[in-house]
Amino acid sequence: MKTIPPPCPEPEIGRKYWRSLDQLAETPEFNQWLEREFPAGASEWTDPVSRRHFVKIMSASFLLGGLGLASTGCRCRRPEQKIEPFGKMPENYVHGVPTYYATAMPTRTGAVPLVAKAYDGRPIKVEGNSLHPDSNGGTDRFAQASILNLYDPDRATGFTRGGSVVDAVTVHDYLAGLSKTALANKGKGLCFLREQSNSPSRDRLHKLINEKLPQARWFAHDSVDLDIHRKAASAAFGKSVRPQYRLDAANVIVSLDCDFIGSEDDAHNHIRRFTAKRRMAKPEDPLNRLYVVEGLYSLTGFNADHRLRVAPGAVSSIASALASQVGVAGVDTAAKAAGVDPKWIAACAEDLKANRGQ
Amino acid sequence: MSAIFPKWTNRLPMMIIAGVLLIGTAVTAGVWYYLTPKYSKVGYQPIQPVAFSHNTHAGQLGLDCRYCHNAVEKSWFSNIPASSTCMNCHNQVLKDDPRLALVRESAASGKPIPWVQVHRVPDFVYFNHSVHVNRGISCVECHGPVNTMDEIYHYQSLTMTFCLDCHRNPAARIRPPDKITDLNWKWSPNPDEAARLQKLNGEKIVHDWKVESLQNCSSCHR
Repeated sequence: MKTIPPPCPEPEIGRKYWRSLDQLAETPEFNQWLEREFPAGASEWTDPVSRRHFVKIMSASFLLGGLGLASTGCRCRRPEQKIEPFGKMPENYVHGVPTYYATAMPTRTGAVPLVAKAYDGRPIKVEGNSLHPDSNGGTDRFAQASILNLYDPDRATGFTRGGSVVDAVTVHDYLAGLSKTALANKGKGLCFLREQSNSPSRDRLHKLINEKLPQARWFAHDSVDLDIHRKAASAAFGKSVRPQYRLDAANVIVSLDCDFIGSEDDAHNHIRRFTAKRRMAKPEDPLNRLYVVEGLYSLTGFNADHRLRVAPGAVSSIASALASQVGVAGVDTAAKAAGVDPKWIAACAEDLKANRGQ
Repeated sequence: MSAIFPKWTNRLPMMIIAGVLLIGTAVTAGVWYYLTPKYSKVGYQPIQPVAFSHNTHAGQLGLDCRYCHNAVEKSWFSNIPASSTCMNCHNQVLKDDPRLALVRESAASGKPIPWVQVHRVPDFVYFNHSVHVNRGISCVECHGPVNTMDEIYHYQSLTMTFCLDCHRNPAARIRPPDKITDLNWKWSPNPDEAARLQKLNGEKIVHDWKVESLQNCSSCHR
């Protein structure tokens, strides 16, 4: 049955809305779609093989198949199954019991301590390593998802050059040639592009290469600069420091466009520290309060008690407005964030002042 | 009366008799086929690639089951030993015996011996060896007197009834956990005394070891 949608009355005044460019242009195709629910030929059955015919043929074939099976003698035995144990027993291997390995997943500024659960030599799950001094047993979303990387069919399985696959011998020959020319002129003109990491192994290799190729140059590239917290903290404290957030000790937390339980580094620690004061064993247990000022909807914003959605450019003015109201010296006291409810900032600043040092 | 009963009802008694006969035959055939020990593989003794005798090894030589099936206390799966386990002894005993050619070859090459599986519970049943063995259910309760078998065979029907018989009353089968691999072990050589001690000590072990009488469907069909 053809369903004709009820006519949608166009508003006499105000904006006119449209769902597609065709509707806006009022093309004949579009008008035809409005008239006909299905395109021509879609609802008429022209195939000579009907569903009824198909089922008839199939049931007859199953019947014949069954008769054939019965006539060829009883093949209804259960299939014989083989158990094939190892030829040489691997040490400490027990089939059916997973093995756990302590490992780590590198991040830009450190690593997430992990315990990987492996079944028959295949890792199937990672969890945080609570025995590690720099971990509270938490992981972040990247660590949880990293297990899928191992089974990703798009994972690189070989070397490519200019988009085409090359074998390992060619690549090693090429690299050997490269090192020969680099050694000849002490690495002049050779550049290394790498991503941000503080891996000690890489530092060691860096040092070794630097001894041989003193004129080679090193560059680090990162699409998102997560070093900004370190820089800001260093500027605030007057010496080079890297901030460690004790969210479990805080009563009031203000996040200025910082997705600290989502995509930021150290999220594996932040998540449990943040939620430590969100669990109530008794009704009188203290709860923390999270204020979030952000442009995008992040996991931190989702967990906020008070979330303020602003354009990313307005965050810094909100920061100075907050700072001036809290009473930080040296901030323009008249700082005002345009387009932001001043009551929100005032309430947040009041809350911060009431919980000074917490 | 023909106004009330149409003519075809004259054939009704015959139809009922024929129907009952048909259904009865189907039920009899079904019971005959499905409810016999043969269907549940009792006595199934396939020819194994190597003529390994449990009688010689476990019975006469007195090897503990767990020397070869070493994972039985740790895993749901009781492993078949690797060929290298056989070679622990057979690199000195019967070194050049032709019957062990496949084992030597497998241990050298790492290619597994294709043993034919005898005991198998269906995929919809969860069975954990370690749980049973660590709570004092002996190998013999399911696998029978393996230490007397020359070639391994399916001793009894491992149906759901069989599982439930024991799950309903674990005290009747349980034994001290250090005696699980001693397949000939009895509480007493005297049967009456053994039955008395089984009842007495069985209940004590069930209590002390917190053995649960699991009868939920989801205990096994998880």
